Amino acid sequence: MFFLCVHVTNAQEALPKVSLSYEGMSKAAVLLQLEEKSGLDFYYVEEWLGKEEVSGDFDDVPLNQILDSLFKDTPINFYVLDGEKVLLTRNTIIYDELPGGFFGRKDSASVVEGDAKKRTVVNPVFYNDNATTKAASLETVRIGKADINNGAQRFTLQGYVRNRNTGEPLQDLSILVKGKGIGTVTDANGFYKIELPAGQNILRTSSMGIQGSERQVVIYNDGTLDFELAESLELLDEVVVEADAAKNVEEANTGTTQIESEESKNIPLVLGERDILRVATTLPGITTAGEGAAGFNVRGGKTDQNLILLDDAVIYNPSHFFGIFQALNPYTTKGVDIYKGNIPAEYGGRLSSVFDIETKDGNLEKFAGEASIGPVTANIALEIPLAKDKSSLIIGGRGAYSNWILRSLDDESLNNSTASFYDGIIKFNSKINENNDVRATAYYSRDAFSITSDSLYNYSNRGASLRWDHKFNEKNTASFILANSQYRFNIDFDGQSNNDFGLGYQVDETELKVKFKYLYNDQHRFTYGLAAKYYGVNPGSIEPEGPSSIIQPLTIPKEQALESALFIADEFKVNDRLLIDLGLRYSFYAALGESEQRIYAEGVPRNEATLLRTEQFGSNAFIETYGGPEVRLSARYFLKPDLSLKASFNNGYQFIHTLSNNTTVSPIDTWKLSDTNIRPQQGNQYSLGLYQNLKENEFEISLEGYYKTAKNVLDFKTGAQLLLNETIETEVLQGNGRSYGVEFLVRKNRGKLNGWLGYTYSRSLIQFDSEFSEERINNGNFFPSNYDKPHDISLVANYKFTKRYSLSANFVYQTGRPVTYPIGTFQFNNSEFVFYSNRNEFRIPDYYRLDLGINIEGNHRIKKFAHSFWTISVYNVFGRNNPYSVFFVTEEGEVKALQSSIFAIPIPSITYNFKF
Amino acid sequence: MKRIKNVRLLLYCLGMGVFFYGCVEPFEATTQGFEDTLVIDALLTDEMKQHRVVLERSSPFSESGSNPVAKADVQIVDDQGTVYRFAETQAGQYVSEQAFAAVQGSTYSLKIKTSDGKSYGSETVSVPNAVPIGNIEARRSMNGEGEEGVGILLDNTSNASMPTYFRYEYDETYKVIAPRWNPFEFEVVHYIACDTLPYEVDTKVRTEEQRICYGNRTSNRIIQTATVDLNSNQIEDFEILFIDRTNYILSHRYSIKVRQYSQTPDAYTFYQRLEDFSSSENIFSQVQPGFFQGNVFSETNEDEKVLGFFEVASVSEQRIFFDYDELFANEPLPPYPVNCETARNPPLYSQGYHCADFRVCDGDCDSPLIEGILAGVIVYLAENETPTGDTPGPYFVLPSPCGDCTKLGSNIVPDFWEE
Repeated sequence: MFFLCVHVTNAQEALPKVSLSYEGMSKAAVLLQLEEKSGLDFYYVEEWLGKEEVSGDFDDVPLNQILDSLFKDTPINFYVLDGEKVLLTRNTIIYDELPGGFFGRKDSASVVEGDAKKRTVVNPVFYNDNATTKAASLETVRIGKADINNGAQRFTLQGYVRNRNTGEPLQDLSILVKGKGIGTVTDANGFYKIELPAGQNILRTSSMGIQGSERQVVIYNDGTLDFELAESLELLDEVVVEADAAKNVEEANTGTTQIESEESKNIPLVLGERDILRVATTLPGITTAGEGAAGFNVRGGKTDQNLILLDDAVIYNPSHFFGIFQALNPYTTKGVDIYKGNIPAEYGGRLSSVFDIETKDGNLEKFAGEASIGPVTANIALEIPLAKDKSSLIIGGRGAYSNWILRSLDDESLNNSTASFYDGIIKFNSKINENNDVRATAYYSRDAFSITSDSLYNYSNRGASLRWDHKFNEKNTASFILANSQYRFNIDFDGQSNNDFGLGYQVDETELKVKFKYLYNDQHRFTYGLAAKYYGVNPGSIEPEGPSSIIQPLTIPKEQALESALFIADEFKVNDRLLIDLGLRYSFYAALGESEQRIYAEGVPRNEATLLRTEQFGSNAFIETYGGPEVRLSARYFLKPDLSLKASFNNGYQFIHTLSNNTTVSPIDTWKLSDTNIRPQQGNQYSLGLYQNLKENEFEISLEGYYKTAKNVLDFKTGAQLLLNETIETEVLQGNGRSYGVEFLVRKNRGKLNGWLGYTYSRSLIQFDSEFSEERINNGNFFPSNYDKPHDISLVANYKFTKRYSLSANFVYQTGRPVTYPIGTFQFNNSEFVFYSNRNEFRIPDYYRLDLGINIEGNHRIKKFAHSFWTISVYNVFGRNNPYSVFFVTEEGEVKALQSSIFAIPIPSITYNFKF
Repeated sequence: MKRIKNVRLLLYCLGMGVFFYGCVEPFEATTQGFEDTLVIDALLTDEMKQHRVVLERSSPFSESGSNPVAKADVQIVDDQGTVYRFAETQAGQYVSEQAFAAVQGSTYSLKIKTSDGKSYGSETVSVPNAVPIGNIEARRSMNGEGEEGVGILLDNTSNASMPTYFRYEYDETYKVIAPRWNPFEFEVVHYIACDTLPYEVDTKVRTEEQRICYGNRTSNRIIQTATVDLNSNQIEDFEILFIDRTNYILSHRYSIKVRQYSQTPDAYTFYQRLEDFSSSENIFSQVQPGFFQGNVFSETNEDEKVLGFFEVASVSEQRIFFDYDELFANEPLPPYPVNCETARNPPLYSQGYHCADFRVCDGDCDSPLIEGILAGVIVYLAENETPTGDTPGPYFVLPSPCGDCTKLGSNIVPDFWEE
């Protein structure tokens, strides 16, 4: 260090002294005068100097002093060659000696002992033209002036990214360094900060709805670079699952996926409805029990093991009409992050996955909107700025107009059916100042359906959240989150007899969560915090309706519980190759009174006869507590810069369970809190994977294997009645789960043809064993779950013909799911019936389906009021009659074998979207 | 929550129209891993009669007919130790040797020993409370699908303190009047196929009663209700059956006998499960089926599956009658099940039929008219006085139910019938 400085100083010592005074002159003119007075030749490019006028007054000072003053705060360096020529360079320093280690020789002199600041030798930045011929057309930006005193190998580049059209900051835009595995994402203010290796870097920005850009940045020192990026419509055509291009190989977590709502619009789906949750099922590891079935099975887990969050509020049933449509407005939804492998420590309470759905922030600059008209629903979303650059509102509404279609049908049995749903969302976001952001969301969805005129079913989800993000300083940030959710359903029966009733169920939860982030240093980033959640469940009530009804009102007593957790996680960068993400979470659960708990004799089946006593618990008394530590550990190791190996282990507790005796999810499944008799579910997951990105992240390949175990998974005795059952524990069985699989995914993120191909081999097995035959299923052996589908192939592809036209295709193949199949028929009471033995020993035929869609963008004339977008799609092009289920009914005293399917013929649809 | 079962969410063949394209369709099921299992169907009531127990074995799909279990030793034992022996009257059907009735306060159990030496038994069952049927009413009403018709509604009241559970069976009898009855019927005078002699059909006066008959239907589904969720032991307007007003059985006079079985809670649950697993509610979510044990079991091998139930029930019966006019005064009758408006004119000979000699004929020797008469599918309406090219046949005819009610019922007036 010192050694080099001396040299430089010496080299410049021989310079002539000059007197010069100038006022309001351009630098070029000053240089001309200097040339004259010093007698030296100056070499430079005039454009570098700019038009700025400068003033100065020097009396007999060395030339370098004048030049220093002149080029202060500019990227210009100078070098005096042979005492006669002055070379001006932009950014670069011309070294008069090769750097230490240039010839592979260790230069011990380069490190000066006792220097408090330990730095490596200044390796000058070589800008190698040959290496960049490919990028020759890129706009090159030079950052900072090389400082010979600054030996850093990495410099910090920071700046803001704004939308060129609106001027609003672009949030969550990813900035990646090509081929170097470095990247960052802009924050809510569009601000970014990235450490770049000295020298030439190619920065690539990408974000949804924003034109991707590449810029060659040659960095010599810390500096700023702001981006102004144009909106892009053509980029939307790409079916890209994630925005963060190198995330696949870089992040430590296994089994994560990100889906952007906007990106899902080209994927042909049933009835032209855009549905990110349905898109999620085309990725390995996420399946549903069948077409149109609600609920997701993630890596062989039950449908109740997914934590589905909409802006931090839990949504218990994010689907409409039994699961055929998602209950999320596609225009207000920004995207979803899915964690199916290692779940970050800040989340808990569900074993299999987290679906973290985020709503867009409203436009801060101008009023904007988006709407669509499809065969079943109409959607609208409006973005309303409230205070320019500070706060705005986004409002989304969506409704089905299927009712009149059902009514207008000729078929009499459907004339009286109704099926309607709607959902609405409103989100407020406000940037109070640089350090404080506030967001508030309210959501409501409701379904009502009735197939016969005497009954009406309805169910609804409600969610509300308030989030305050606060930045203490550059290193410490915090989020304070308050969220409340509710799921409820009602059945109204109005028949002939004296038994008209209204039946209701409701679950409520309120969570307070505080999360801190602490960027300790380059190696450690901590996330820590605590969360507390209160549950209130009204497990069921029935009330007479109408004056003549003699229904006995019954209310199953309310259940309450508190679930809380402390968590801490450290993203520890051990070295350039190894990144460890270690999370620890301590979950604590308490079932709270007021309650009456039934205590049964140990070691015998629970029933009326084995009931020993009941225990009374007062209001808010702890009935039973459960909990324990949870580990969320994952690690990534770079085998090559674009090839990584990851491994993870995590475990968790789940304290709330669905009660369902159906083979698939039904809207009238209830959620039950753990208590004295029903223990929490516990799960472990081990996963290991290889990830590779090819061709500058154009291709992503991943291969991931997992092995999961679970205990205390719930099931029920055959024919159990679950609704309004006061002694539900006598019907419950708790057993073990085991699932494993290998998931392969290859994805092409750019180009005319993009999309992905996934293949999964997986098994999902459960076991209910007991010494008592009434508590055993399938003799206590492991058997396939209802959603065990070993082979699963998904192909999603989009081909862009021109900027306006694209063709997309979606192909799915799955092994048929297991069903319980009768083992014979018998005569009883003059009718024929079937009887069953072991569960899930038969499979329905394999499932396959191809969907095609054509997407037409309206033209992009700027003056046009609105951008339009047409989607014409055909769902199930083969018209394959994929069985959903098989069942056996006794009609007219005889058994009939029936199979059902949901969409048995090709379904064309056309949807019109427009944006303004 | 049982009443929800009433709410048929059946989305059968959603396929119609734009909204849903799903469908439920039959398929040919084959038995996977068939299990040969004993089926016990035993019912003891509080009626003084010879009771019956049926023993069969289960069968694989598509195998019609029953597999009776013969030569078994069947008995019912009461809590006093009285043994009621059963004798096999036909294969698999066992009838008590003497008439007896289940008595309130007693308990009963079933004992079976099959010819292969295995023994089976039942839990001990007590006799449920006797609850008389209060009232049965036929009321003009709408069903759950909004169709108009007649609901057969039942009331009863029990003084018992415990909830009561019921299962119902019914037996319908209805008058059928042939709308185009004619005093004459066909008489085939000469019909030897491919004979050179012409075929001959004449008419004669009917001798048999074929104008007024009595049709019959019995229940073939599980009908149940209970007072378990009600605040009084009172069943009111429970719909046993709904008859669509377009059903011809309502046309004249109709009678229904409802048989009410007061059940034990276990029997009620057994039938409920049977119903759950043999009906479909909703194609999107299906009840998880599985094996369920009744109250009968093997005493020889506790792992052996045994199907069926030994039910002890208290019975109450009631019959009602009503005329169409009482509910649908001056309204058109429901349509007759066959079209009796369009007369047909089958020719005596097939087209192009001609015989040179016995069995030396061109064309089809079968006479369309006579074949129809012999098959019993047509009845006489009128003579064709002017046969033409379009109507060459000698007679105008109608489908046989139009003039002969015995195709739809019995011409014997049932002994309980009241006009």
